[in-house]
Amino acid sequence: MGTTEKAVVLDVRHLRTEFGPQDRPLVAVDDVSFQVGQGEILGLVGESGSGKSITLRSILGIIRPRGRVAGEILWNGQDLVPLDEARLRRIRGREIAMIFQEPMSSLNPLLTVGLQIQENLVAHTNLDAKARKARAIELLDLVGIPGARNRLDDFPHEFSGGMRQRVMIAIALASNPKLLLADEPTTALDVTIQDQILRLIQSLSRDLGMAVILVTHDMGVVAETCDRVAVMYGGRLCEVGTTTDVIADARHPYSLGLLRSIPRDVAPRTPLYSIPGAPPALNALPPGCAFSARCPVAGRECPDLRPTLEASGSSRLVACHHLQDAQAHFGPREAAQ
Amino acid sequence: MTVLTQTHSRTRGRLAAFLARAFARPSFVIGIAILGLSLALALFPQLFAPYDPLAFDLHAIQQGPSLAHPFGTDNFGRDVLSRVIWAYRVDMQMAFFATIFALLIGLTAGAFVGYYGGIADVIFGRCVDAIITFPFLVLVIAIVAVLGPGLVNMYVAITAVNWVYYARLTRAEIMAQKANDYAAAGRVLGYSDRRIIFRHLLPNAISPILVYWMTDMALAILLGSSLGYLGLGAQPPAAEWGVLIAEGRNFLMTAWWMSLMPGIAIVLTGLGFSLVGDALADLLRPKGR
Repeated sequence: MGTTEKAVVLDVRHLRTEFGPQDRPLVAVDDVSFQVGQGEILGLVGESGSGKSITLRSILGIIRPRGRVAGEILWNGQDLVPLDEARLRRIRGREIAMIFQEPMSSLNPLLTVGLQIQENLVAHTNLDAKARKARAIELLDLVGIPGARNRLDDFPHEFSGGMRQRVMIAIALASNPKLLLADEPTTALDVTIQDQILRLIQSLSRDLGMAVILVTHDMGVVAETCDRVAVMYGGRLCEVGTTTDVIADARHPYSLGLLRSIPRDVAPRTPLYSIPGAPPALNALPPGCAFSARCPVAGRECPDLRPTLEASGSSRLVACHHLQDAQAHFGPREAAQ
Repeated sequence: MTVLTQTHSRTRGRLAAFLARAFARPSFVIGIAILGLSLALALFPQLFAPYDPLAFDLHAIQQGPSLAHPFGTDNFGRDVLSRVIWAYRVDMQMAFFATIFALLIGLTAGAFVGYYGGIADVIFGRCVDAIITFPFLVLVIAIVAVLGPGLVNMYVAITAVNWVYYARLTRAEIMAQKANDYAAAGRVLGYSDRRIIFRHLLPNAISPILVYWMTDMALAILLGSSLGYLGLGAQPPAAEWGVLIAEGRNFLMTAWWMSLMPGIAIVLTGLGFSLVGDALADLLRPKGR
């Protein structure tokens, strides 16, 4: 698996999450393995329905409607998959925190921001009321909310979208988690705010030594923020590597296609590249490579024979039968960038 | 320092603003006035009633409305106004006790079922269907018939049927709230289910339920009077509007005031609850957030 110099805090092995009937299951996440090191930011990229959010939710055991999770999720050596709700609850929020895409609906509209931060402190720490308030102010300050002291008694609707996302992060950070799961935290925000929030996550990760898994569909976000990136398609991993490697020298045809679809350095009115077709439905996944139906270099064996995630180069994992063809097809253009 | 005190008074400022908006509505003002008067009559009938509601006056039988007896007298010479006033005590009690337990049971059951869903929800749904299949009044009368007439048994019977409506409403509201990210955020923060349900979901779900409760108190008065009329609720000689109407029904042609006056009291009180409920529905409705 991907090698990191830092100590591995989360080690996901052969994660499989499925829904529906036992005999004809819908497999949303299929044999996904990755590791996250301490203080590392891992990007999980893919389009809607590729299973990236489900992967995150599987880690915390909050799959709804009830799905079946198999495989191992080793959190500092402890497997989270077989844990019951009560024991998971002690890890959620305290060791692993999560923030969501919609800052508009992720906060309880009826409770003040201060109360919502302090609630987390009540649940996970032994601080007394005074210390909790001080900590709440400190947290709001940490996430860059101006005049933190005066905003404790404000309700969520008195904050803008970006500020609400900061509040969400403050709540998530309240009990010093070691891992932050961020589910498209910037998708609902406009571009300038996106940038601020990403920088905030980056600096928090650096300063607090907190690992982050950042789910996104935006390669730009990954390039800006993440140390390593894992590309998902149809519930499976296609390519895992350091961000610089993957952006500069993608190997999997899907990653190549994704990167080529980003507009850059082109004359006005040049049609953008897009990957033909649409992602397959969960009940129509081929037994082989999930991407084979849309892949420009797919061979005859691809829909039937599942490519395994194999090392390609020093710190790269790719799942494809036709690496050379892919390079040839997409040409040296991507490498040049 | 000034900033601190300012922020502390903001919550109170919100309540004041809410009340200001409420009292700007005529329907709320009228409704609250009616309910306030009703409550005062219910709590201190002896201060308002000119006569003893049970005292016979055989020299003044079935007298029409006059200065001495503004609502007239009944067939035993009892003052109808005094009886109507004393009846406030019983009927306002009915409005409260016939609904409060249904509200509490329904809230709890509906919240749990709506939050957890699954097999409990299916079983709950079937039970609700079974209870709702029976006409409300018929089922209540059947239960009272088994338990025996009287106020307490009437509360039991109404609660046994009525909680279903609160539970259904709560279940639907909780299911809608559950879909919001803040519910998922609560789980992710490691909060217990009970905390998520009662601290986060229910307060956000409760306003339509409170509005329904207001209307339901009006309905409870109607239902209680109906049962009183049928002899299954409050028992004569106790003063209760349904009982009073029943007492007057044989004299509708000669002493119409005996039934009409308690009837007006029912309408007026029901109107008070409805107006307040209506105003609350408007006031609590979330505006474009």
